Amino acid sequence: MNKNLISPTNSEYIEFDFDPNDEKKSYLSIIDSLLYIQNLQYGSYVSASGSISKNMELGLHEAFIGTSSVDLIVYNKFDVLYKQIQDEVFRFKRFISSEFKISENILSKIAQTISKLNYCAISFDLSSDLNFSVRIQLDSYYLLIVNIPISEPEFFRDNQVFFSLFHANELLITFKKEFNELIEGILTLNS
Amino acid sequence: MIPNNENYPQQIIPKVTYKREIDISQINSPPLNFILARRSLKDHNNTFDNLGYLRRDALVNKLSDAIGLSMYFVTKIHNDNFIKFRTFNSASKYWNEGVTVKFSDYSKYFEIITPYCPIYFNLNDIDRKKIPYKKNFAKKEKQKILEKLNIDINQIDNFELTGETKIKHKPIILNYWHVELHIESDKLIDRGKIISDIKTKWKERLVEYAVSDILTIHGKRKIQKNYTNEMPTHLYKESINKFLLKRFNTIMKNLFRIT
Repeated sequence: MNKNLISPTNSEYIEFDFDPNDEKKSYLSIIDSLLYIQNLQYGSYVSASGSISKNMELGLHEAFIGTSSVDLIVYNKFDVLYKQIQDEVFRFKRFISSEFKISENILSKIAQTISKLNYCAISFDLSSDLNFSVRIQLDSYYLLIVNIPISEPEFFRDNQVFFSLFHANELLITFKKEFNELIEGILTLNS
Repeated sequence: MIPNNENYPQQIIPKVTYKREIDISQINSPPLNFILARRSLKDHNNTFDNLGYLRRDALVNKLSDAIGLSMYFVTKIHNDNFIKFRTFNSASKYWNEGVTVKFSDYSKYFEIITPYCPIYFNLNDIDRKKIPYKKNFAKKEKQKILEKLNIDINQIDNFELTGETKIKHKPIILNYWHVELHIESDKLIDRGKIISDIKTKWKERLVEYAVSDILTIHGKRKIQKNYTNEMPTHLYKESINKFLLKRFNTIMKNLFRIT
């Protein structure tokens, strides 16, 4: 993973309101926000006590309280997604007896496409019928599920995916669409 | 899996006074809120994902296993602890009305699965759901979402492949509270028929929708509060008059067959 050490004073990435009279409280508030982010496995922009660049993910373990600054390690969002997808593939491999191989290109393409989205939380489910399901909690109400039949590489070659969009666990739409177009469409939903 | 050294809950075995089948359509409407349970095929850590949604492999080994998927009513009589008992061979055959089940005849045909991880479903969430399942949301709202996703509304409304999920009560020899998930086709030539295989692409897609849009979304880790834990007796027990009449008819039939 590419790590970039940044300072909270770098306004390009992070803006926190520091109260010089209550510095400790501000730091704790940052750590609280990070814990919140980490616990919910946020993958993108979060507005907590400050703002965090939407293309970055914070590694909690690298954050610490200092006397005069807080150092944060920032990971590229694509890297985080790619790692999560790889973890799911490793998890899946523990349950199958036959050798399972999946093209790195497909995994990379999936991570690349999803990284354009802003979302609250994400999970992956690879099943033995070789359906790769990406479950994306867009906000408190909207859930997007993208099902990629990786057993049919020719299907994914055209970048076609099945998707289902839920509102409060009620299905609104289920259909087939080109992956990038779907993500572009989802991005405009709240605009 | 451990040997069946634990007592089987004999209170869940069908009784002669029980009806052949509970009519699910009579109980699947709020405020009645029945819970169905199923044993996960995986351990606790691999049953739900980190968002709390059910993993597909915890539900079925392969897509076709979703056809006739077994579950059980969770009631006062059928406690959710009982799903650790797995029946097989003749103990898993369908029970016929009026037949007395002698437990000793089947005591070899069950095992205890441990550890086990239950998956719960609200009956109202998974029964009589159209596939592809669509919420009837406001036309304006629908139009707006479809426009943003660049999808023609006619494509959505004119699905050629539609069906419906149906939970059917199917008592088995050692468990009266056993139910199955059936998927009925709405396809013109097969309307009302239960899908029994996924040999054709359209059947496969329908079953796929049922798994990915209904079952994995509504499978729950915990039983929800205020569920209905008592089946009204008139739904599963025959009235004494009807029971006696049925017994009389059976005796008469047998008598004439012998003579």
